[in-house]
Amino acid sequence: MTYDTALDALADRTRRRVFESLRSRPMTVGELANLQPVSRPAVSQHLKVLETAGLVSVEAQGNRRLYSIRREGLAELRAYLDSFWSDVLVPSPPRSRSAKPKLTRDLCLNRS
Amino acid sequence: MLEPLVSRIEVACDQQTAFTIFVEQMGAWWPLAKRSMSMHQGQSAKALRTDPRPGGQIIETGHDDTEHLWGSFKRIVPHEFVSMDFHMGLPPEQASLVEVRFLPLSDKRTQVELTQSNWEAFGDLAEMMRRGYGSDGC
Repeated sequence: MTYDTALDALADRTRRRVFESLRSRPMTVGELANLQPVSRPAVSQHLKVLETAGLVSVEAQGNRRLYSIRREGLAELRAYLDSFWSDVLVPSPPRSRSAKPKLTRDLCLNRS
Repeated sequence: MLEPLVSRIEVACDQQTAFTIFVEQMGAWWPLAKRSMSMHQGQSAKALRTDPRPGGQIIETGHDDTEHLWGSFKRIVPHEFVSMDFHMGLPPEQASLVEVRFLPLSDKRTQVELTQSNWEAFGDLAEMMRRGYGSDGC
């Protein structure tokens, strides 16, 4: 999963509603379409984007396809957001470029 | 209202230097290989430039020279405080608010305190992301 794919996927309001509907239980496209003011093909399309982003998984049960939230996908997204500033506010690793700005070294960031 | 996220570090320089490097030379210290839009394509961004005045933008020059707008400055109190609407990778209407305070500890040390808030811009999802889901029985 790439984080911007996941964030992009969830940036769309309708898609987010589809995703949030799955919090209560796994559902079929038909069930989801009944809960949303959008057509079944549109719901399918949104699910496809969510699946590509690693946020939703699909499982065949008999002749039904059940969609559910993929916990790992959301956990990865949260981990990315949680670690964002701790990754940013630390000394940069030495850069391969030789023209390393002197001030980078002088800034000498240390976690308190 | 979701709790703001707070991150603090100490830097080995005076307040004025810390502030100046933070706002004017963001590209010099930001880990462009680790946290950038280019990183999503497995590449380091080429540069990051800032226009430190209210409304001034923060722009990444990507590995392929594509420009990505990360956000814009809101309020600047020289050497003490800066706030930004920050939405890296998201539409501007989903900007979170990033506030940075520079507290002098001595003439050689400064505490930089960063607060990120306005998670509500991300809608209901904000709560899921900040608190996780599953704690309410699902």
